[in-house]
Amino acid sequence: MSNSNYLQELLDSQELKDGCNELVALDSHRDEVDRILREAYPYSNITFTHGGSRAKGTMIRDDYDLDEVCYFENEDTTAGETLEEIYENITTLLEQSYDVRQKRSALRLCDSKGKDLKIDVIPGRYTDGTKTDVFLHQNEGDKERLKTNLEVHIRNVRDSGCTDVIKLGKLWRTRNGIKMKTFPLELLVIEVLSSDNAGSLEDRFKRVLEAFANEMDTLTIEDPANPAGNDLSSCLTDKLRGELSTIAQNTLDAAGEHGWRHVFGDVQKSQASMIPRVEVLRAAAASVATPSRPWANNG
Amino acid sequence: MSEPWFTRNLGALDELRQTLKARFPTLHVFSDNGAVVVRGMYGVDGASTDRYNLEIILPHDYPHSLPQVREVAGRIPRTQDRHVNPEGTLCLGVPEQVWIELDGDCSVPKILDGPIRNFLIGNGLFEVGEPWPFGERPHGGAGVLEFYKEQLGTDDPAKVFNFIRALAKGSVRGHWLCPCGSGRILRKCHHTAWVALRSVPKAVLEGSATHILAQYRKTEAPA
Repeated sequence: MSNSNYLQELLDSQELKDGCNELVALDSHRDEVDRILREAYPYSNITFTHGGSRAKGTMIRDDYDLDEVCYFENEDTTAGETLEEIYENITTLLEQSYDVRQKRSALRLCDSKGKDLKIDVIPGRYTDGTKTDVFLHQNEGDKERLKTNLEVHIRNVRDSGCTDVIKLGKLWRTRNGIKMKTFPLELLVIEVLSSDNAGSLEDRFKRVLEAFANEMDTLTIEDPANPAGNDLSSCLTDKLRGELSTIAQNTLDAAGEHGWRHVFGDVQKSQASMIPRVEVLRAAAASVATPSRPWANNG
Repeated sequence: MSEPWFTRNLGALDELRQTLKARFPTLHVFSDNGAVVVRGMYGVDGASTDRYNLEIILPHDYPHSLPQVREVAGRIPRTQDRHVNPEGTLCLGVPEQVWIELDGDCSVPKILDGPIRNFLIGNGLFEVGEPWPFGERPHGGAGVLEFYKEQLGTDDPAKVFNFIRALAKGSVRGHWLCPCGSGRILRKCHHTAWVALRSVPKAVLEGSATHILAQYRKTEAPA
């Protein structure tokens, strides 16, 4: 199998098809969130829609979640006068059904046992009656509110012509344990390929890794929905740039010497044919020649 | 403090990088505040199975003492019942036992193939409700005593403490009295255990002696 074919098969194995268990579970929680908000604010005309990778077409099985956006109309104050009030009131509302973890602008939902349900609820309010730009509350950073535009973000990725490389980049990030948000990674991939997006999947992915390895210090990104107002420097620190550069070079070296399979492992043909994790672990335990017993330093 | 390993042997760092690329391509070497850190994803059965995001901080005398190993994605709760210390380091085993298993070679590939892999396999099974496949040690001094009982046949804290102190001094000959206090010469008493344990670093032995003292005080303390 050629390298490009391997990478394409790898991407195919990462696709979450309509009706799969993961998406059904996400949709069920999404519907429940929508119902809770509609019942709590029956006179509000809340806009519910998908943001994130589901809307952009860049979802991957290894690292997926669902961004459920819920925007109130510009004049609507039923959920709160300020953005912070909306954010806090929706947190309180959802806490009646979920364990809610507040992120920068989103609310991450977990079940009562703390299991991550992979749902981010993103409350916000339209900036005016045109229902295009929105303000989000920000828990961290210099500014308490962020102006953004979901449609611009979605279009920027979905219509970039490089969603396949973005998906591969996300898988590369996950498989290497890189702590980087998806948004700056998407912007970096689009920026690198903006000058040349020709060639096979492998050619284009390598082009991105080569740019990470060699030009990371000079690559710049900006929020297409708010270039002047959304400072992304905290998403791409010098430390992260250094790590991306090192890991990209290591990946190129390892793939060059041993092939992509060495980097990403075997392609799982289908979920049905996968050996259950517990059986893999039992077999791994049985193969251990020198067992060791864990301990704890303090009694 | 002595010179760190990567300046004493200038080729060693590059050798480690090459080894990781060949064997563990999703683990990477970084320099962090004067320390060398290995970070990235480790699959217990290859790149595509049951992965953990690890951080391995190498000691200044690498590979002659055990590195600190952390799981950094929040998958393993930082509780002693999960064999994780409060600062997040994984307790792979009683240090003497790990040292013996590794034959004193605490290089990254050896600890990944041995105690780290064993720990993560066990953790994965524990997560789905199964027991730790190789058993687990009691915490603190009780676990150290259990290990020494397997080596010496006694968990009498005084005897174990004396044995460890003699090991740390490293001055007992085969025809001398065994430090366990049996009255027999070492060669006819705990010679096998002595040979197995005599290369364990002094710092590790001193750590165990402290644990045993604490355990002794705990058991001797009035109710």
